[in-house]
Amino acid sequence: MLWDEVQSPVFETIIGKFMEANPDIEVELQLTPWNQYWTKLDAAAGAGTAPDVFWMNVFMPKYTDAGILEPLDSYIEKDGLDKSAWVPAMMELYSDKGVQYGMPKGMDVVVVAYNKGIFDKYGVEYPKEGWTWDEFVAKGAELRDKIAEKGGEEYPLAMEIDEPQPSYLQLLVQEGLKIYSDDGLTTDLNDPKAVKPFADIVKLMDDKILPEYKILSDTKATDLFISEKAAMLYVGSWKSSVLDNASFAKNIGLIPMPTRENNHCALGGISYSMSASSKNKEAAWKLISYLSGPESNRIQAEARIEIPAYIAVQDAYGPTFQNIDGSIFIEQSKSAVKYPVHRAIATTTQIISDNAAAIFSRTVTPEEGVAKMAKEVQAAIDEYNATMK
Amino acid sequence: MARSQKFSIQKHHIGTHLVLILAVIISIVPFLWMILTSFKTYEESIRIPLTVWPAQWNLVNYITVWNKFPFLNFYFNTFFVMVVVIIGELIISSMAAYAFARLNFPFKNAIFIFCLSLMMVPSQIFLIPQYDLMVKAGLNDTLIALILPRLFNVFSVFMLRQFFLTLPRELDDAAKIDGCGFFGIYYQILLPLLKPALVSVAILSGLSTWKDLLWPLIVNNSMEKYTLSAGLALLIGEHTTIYPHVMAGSFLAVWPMILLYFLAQKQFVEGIAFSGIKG
Amino acid sequence: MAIKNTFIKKTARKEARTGYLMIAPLMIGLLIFSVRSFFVNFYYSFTNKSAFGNPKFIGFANYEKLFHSDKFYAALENTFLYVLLCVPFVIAISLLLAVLLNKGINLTGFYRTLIFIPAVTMPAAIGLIWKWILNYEFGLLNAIIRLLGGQPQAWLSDPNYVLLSVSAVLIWADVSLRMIVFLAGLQNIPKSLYEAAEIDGANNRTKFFKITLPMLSPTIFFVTLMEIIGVFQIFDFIYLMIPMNSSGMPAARSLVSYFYEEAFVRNNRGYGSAITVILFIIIFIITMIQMKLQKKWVFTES
Repeated sequence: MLWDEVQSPVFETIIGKFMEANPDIEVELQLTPWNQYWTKLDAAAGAGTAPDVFWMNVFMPKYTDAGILEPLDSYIEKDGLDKSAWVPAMMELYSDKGVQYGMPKGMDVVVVAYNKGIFDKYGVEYPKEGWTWDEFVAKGAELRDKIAEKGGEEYPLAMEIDEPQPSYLQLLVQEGLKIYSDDGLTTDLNDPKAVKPFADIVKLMDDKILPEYKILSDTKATDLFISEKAAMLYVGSWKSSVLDNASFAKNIGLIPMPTRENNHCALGGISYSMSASSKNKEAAWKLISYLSGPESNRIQAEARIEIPAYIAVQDAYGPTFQNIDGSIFIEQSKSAVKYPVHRAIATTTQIISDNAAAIFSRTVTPEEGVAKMAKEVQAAIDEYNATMK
Repeated sequence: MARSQKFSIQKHHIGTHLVLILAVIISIVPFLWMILTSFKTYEESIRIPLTVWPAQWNLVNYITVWNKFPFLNFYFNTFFVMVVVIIGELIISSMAAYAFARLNFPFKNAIFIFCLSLMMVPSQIFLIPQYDLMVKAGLNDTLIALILPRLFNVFSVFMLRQFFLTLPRELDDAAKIDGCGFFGIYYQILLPLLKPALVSVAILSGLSTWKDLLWPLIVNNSMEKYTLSAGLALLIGEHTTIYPHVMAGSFLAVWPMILLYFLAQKQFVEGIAFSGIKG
Repeated sequence: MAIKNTFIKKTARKEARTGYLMIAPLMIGLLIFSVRSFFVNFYYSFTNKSAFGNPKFIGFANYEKLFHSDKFYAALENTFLYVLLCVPFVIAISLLLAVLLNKGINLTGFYRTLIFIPAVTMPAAIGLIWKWILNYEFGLLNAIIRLLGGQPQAWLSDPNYVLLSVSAVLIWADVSLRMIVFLAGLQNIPKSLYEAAEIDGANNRTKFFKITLPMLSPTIFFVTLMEIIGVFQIFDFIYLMIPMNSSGMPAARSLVSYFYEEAFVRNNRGYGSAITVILFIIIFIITMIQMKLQKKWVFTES
């Protein structure tokens, strides 16, 4: 079972190949839209009728706690698979208390995209790799001034600040924060450093480099960029094919994120997991190991839908783009860290986005907002840990 | 004297026409804008200043959404559910309405008032238990799940009962003398007289099924089991929102009912008017 | 005498049996889907029910959490604002249009046909169409405003406007439906009343306030009640026009939106149940008040 309709045709190809190689196994593909996916999985899991193999994301601990996922270690051992063939941050993301519950499908990286056409139009130099946050802000300010000078309508920068992953979460990680401690007992959002990313984003809005939150809520940042209304964009690799298919795609430049304390990227991504109540566990494992293996990774890379988490085939990703330079995604992923996760992530993510929204709408100052955020996240963590005892 | 009076009436009507024309414009401009946008290319739809007419009337947006989403399933599901609900509801409601209007049995009034009181309960209160029920019965993600809870409509029972009450008692008595049983009176004598009311109930019930969003969204999860209403919710994309696609999808969803309405305007208007019958 | 008595008794018994049989399908359905659900939902509101696992009884914890939640109070306030804003406009505009359409002037059929179209359109489509028209960058409304030299607004994401925008869409969608009901009500008023009034020299205004309004008051009452209950459950337009994380959402979220997010997005079913119980209590109280007022205000023919 999967949720992305863009990827579904590619998966039909992959599954076709798998069934060719394993004629005794029949695989049925089930597409469920993202906004229904979890409801459906929950219902099916509750009734013991979950699909044998399904996509899983960082909500995983909730499912391991409920005993819905099959531990994969014994299968990995039996097949003698080398775990280091995959990007370590991804393998780590889908293990829980030392047990592997998912095999990585691919990974999500965030980079900065810029529209060379707009830079040329206003005579601004393209950004250079190894740039710092200050240089990034200066670039934005330069664009703003030159656009205003010529009476242009474009925004210097767009950022999907209504979602953590392609925006402030990366900045938090680049402050050196972990969000959740390794033992899962505390959050470091009460660190004074946690205020800075939010204050910086608000300052970008104050300085008219980034449009107001109400504008970014109305038209998604990526849509602003695709409609050539924004010169720069923090963008996730999951939207790479949207960029590559844009009418002005030849003019899209990609560059790693600017460096704050560092420019690490918090790697997200999907995994394949097996239902613990599956009746065909051997076949399900064969499918998982094929899907997460080199051939399937290569097909997905060549279809531009996913950056391989299988290191050996990562080279297949870059050249497949017709217009944009996909190698930047791989480059950005080199210095990546694991996506911050906690067992209570469904609740804490909501708390973080609610408070971020209040900060960006300026109903609270960044200091107040982050303080409240830290307090509520800690309370949610405590509550979760208390109920688990 | 006579002339000036006539003139003043006409002048008065000009005001009426103006207000009504304004109302017509406000009512249909959104639909026209939907149609115009649905034929534009993406680049055209985001051009500033806006262009009103598409440079070229191309169907590419329609083809794209048609290929991306199972619209044939949406159509089939919507109409299948609508038809089954209408038929089922008419049978169940008219029988109960007849019993409440004509037959005597212990606790009749208490039961009826109890039914009426259910009308006050907001339907959201039933959703979670109904959803659980469907999951337990293995019916979630089926068309049956869309049909079952909709068959039992107190409102239509209430309205049909009012209509049974308007039919003269003498009809029953005459039929009784001819040896007709209670069910026979209902089925052979009164029901045929109630046809206009039944058509109205059918239209009201059909429209509310047509419009329903929350329940199909919750209980069914695969696109192949979606109705048009729920399917529309998918058009706001996960990755990017292309409004010409969204508008083409919206048009594909709205035209059947608008066409039906043009074909059976009188029945639609009477049906809606019927919902205003008070107790 | 004795024979006749048993005959009557027999028919009465048969009548009762037929009666029960004929209401049986309805009653069984209602018991399963409504009555049972009502009580189960009430029970859930005292549990920590989530998507899977057995719900645990937690007393009033959900309600306590609810009454300490800013989001809940905001949703409650928004919902009341929707009702206060939408209901008077829907009733006034639809009544006005009905009166105008009832004059029997030329083109009445044409006007009525077109004004009625929104009533046969699903709210999901209406939401999408208006989302596009109200779009900040590329929307039709802002294009017109720019043309007239005004200030474009982020209608659906600016907290100052979003509630007004959603209300406007709701009013737009509901007017045509209510208008038809009023029109039918107007056509039921006997012409003779107006003729008599004309003989007494009454002008249009007097006729409207002395005849039309009183004669129409039962319909107005009924439609108003339906509209209030309907607006209290506003969800579809908000769901389609405003993303959950939008800057507009805090100022637009209704009780039912909040319920949907909690119960079906975040899977806090128990908490969601508690929200619907509160919604029920509010609607119950308002219906009771309305029923009381009806006795006072509504003109009855006796």
